[in-house]
Amino acid sequence: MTSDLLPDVPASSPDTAVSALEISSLQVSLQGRQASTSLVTDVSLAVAPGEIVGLVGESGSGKSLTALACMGLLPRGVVIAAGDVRLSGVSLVGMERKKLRALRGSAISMIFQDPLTSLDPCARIGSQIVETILAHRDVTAAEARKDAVELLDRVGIPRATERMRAYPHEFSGGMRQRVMIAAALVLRPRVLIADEPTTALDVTTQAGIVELVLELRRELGMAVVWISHDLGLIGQLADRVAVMYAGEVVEMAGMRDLFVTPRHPYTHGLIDSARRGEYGELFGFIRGNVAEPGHWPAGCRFAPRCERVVAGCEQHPELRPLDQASVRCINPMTRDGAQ
Amino acid sequence: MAIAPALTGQPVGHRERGLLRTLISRANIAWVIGSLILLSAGTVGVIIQVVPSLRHLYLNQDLEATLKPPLSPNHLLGTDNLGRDLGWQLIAGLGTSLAIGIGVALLSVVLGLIVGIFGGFFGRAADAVANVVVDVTWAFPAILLAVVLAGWIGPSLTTVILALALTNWAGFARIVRGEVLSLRERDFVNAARVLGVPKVLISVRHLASNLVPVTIVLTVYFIATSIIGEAGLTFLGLGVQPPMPSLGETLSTGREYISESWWPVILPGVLLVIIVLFLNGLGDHLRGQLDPRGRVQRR
Amino acid sequence: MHQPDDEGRCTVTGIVEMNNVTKVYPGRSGATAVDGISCTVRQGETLGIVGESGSGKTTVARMLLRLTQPTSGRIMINGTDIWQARRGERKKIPRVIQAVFQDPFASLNPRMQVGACICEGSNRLFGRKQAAADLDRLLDLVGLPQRYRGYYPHELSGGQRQRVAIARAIAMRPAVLVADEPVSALDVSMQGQVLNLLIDLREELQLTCVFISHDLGIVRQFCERVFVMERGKVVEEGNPAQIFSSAKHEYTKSLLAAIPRIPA
Repeated sequence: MTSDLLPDVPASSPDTAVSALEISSLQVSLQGRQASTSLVTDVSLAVAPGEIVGLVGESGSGKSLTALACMGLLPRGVVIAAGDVRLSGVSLVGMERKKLRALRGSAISMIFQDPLTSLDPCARIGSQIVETILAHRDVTAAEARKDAVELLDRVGIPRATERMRAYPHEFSGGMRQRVMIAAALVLRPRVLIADEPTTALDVTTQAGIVELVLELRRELGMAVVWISHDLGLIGQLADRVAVMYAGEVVEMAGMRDLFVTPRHPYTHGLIDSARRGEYGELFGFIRGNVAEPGHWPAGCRFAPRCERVVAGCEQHPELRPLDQASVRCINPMTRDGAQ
Repeated sequence: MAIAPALTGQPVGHRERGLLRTLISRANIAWVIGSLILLSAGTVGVIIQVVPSLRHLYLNQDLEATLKPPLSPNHLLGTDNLGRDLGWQLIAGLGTSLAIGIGVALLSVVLGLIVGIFGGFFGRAADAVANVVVDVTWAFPAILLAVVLAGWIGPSLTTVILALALTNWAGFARIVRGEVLSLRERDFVNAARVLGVPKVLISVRHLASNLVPVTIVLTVYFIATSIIGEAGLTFLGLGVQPPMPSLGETLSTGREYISESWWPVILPGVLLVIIVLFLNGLGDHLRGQLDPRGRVQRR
Repeated sequence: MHQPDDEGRCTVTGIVEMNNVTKVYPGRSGATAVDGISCTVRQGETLGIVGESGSGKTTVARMLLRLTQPTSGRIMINGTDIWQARRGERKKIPRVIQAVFQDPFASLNPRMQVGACICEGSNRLFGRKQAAADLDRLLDLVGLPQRYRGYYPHELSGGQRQRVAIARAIAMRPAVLVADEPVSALDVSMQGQVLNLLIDLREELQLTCVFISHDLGIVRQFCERVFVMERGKVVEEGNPAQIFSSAKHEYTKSLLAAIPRIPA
């Protein structure tokens, strides 16, 4: 049972002393036959109960792997090479598989981009949710079913009682995502990791899902890590934002702060690229290509694409505090705009 | 005039190893060696049938040394009821089997590709025609065709090859059609159509090259099934005729003398089993190797 | 149909006209993918078609490119009804209208080298020699180093692959370019590279563009005129700036409201 494994921190009162989720100096590597390739290096992140932290990055940034590492769901051959992940102070790295499995879903849960792959297509959604409940809680089947129906209703599935008997493919994309959210939250986890859950959905559907998660966060006092490549979306939800590039965190700041004063050149470039203007204007971009794992330069990994490269950039920069934020850059952009 | 400055820097991936290099690599060494052994044995088997001065190796009858057991002097695997060296019989038979197997497989594959692509890519009418042909052929048992052909042109190497190939190709055509149906929705096929490339050329350049993996794997499987098929047909008297050596023939004749000598029955049987198991395993292994290695989806 | 000038620029009026074009899929449900779309695109103009999944925008593109046959209606490109054209006229169509598709991974044959990909169409149209001579210029035009011609698609990044796809399309010296979600599958920081390239090219080569996207923000910046599609019908049309400020149709309004905006 969860209570044996985690200190009893009441969900609704944010206890600032203990982060709901704390990642420290996480390093994830791919173990090849001869050598291992780093995929994520030195990632540190703390999420307080009830807080939403946005994790922004493009392909190769390592954001999804970081999430999978927290869940203990790294693919074969990919391991946590160093660092720690703590759930309410309890370390998950090196935890016994059985214990980890018990925590997964009940204390920490994850939703993915494609609900079809995380829901069993051959099982009715009602039974999937009920099974999850019964596996972790000591209740009767009838109680579990009632819980499931309530939850489906709560996430906005119309005619929840009927729909319990439906199969995943009978739902539209947006509805499936809601079902997945229901399944993920049925045990009231403390931490929810959302890995691009709305990327494949229409813009109008996306708005509904975002609203749902925000409401649930309030109700359950959940800590949320929301992963996305979409800055605009992050801007709608997150309290704090961590920007990842090439396997490391390059900037971390409060949401407003990040957008108003991006410090790392990559963040600035990303915001510029996402900005849309009037007809005839050119689009913002960052020159060059996104860096691939295994081909990262020894110094600053963003340097090949950076416009602010200076003499010290061949040294690998550390993440340092700057004003209220942290930046991994020796030549960050400051409030007055330019150099 | 360069409009867009070269913003792009280094290419990101590593250069692709060609198909051949992928197949012949250290990981596959066991399969490569096995295949080489099989091919060499088969080639030897064919050579000794084709070169007149070598034919005596398996044809030489020695009526004073009939049914000698394995490990006899001069005859490592013994002799059959006519005193012919069993070892050389088996090798020669293996040559026949392999030659037929490869011949049938190639024929089936070519037919299957043509009909499969035709049905999958050239429109609904073509598909209807192709489907009818495939369905009719698919249901036709090879043995029945062999009997008919044997009656018509007499049992022979040709009969075997035709009987097996003409019934085999339909299964492959089905698989090809399925692959083509999904391939043709791929954007590079659409792009080629928009570029004005005629469908026949698209079939060769885009479809066929992407069908190579499935073709290779199925060819290997077909060789296995054809070897069994040939052995079976010959066993029944519908296949190759003596003096052409065949594992099925050796087995069949050996039956009569089984009470005195197990080796003319068991040894060809074991050889058949080994070959077929090996080929099936090879097919499975190739399938694992050649399946589009899940490339990371780049955004 | 037309002759390019010495620098390969197109001098024809690349007019695209769609007249009440409909596409209904046969079957039990008889889904209407496109329900009577009509429009005229003038030469040099950029038309955006915006919609979510199921809106029919991709079907429109496919019908323009002769990949999917309309159930009814006429599509005229440069005065030729492309679906009724005789064989001789049909062969000239690739010369006039070309396409860039969404997934750079899927639109290039993984077994063909970049140079071969780019020349695939122009080889047939202009002959190998001319196509090879053009290749140098094309690689420059799209901002790829010359040595890339020998690389395979998977060795390139998504943005680079899209450049190859663009080079392949303009190798045919078309008058009209249909871009179906050309940057949706790319990383945000690279989308601008490809979009700016398209902006440059359409001016340099005087292209008429039909730009299909679900992203209103991009369409606004890239297109002079836009059609908003919902479930097969065009629900709103006009100048993007106007639509952004004063949309009339409910659907357009909901689309606009749902766009996550960067906090200023």
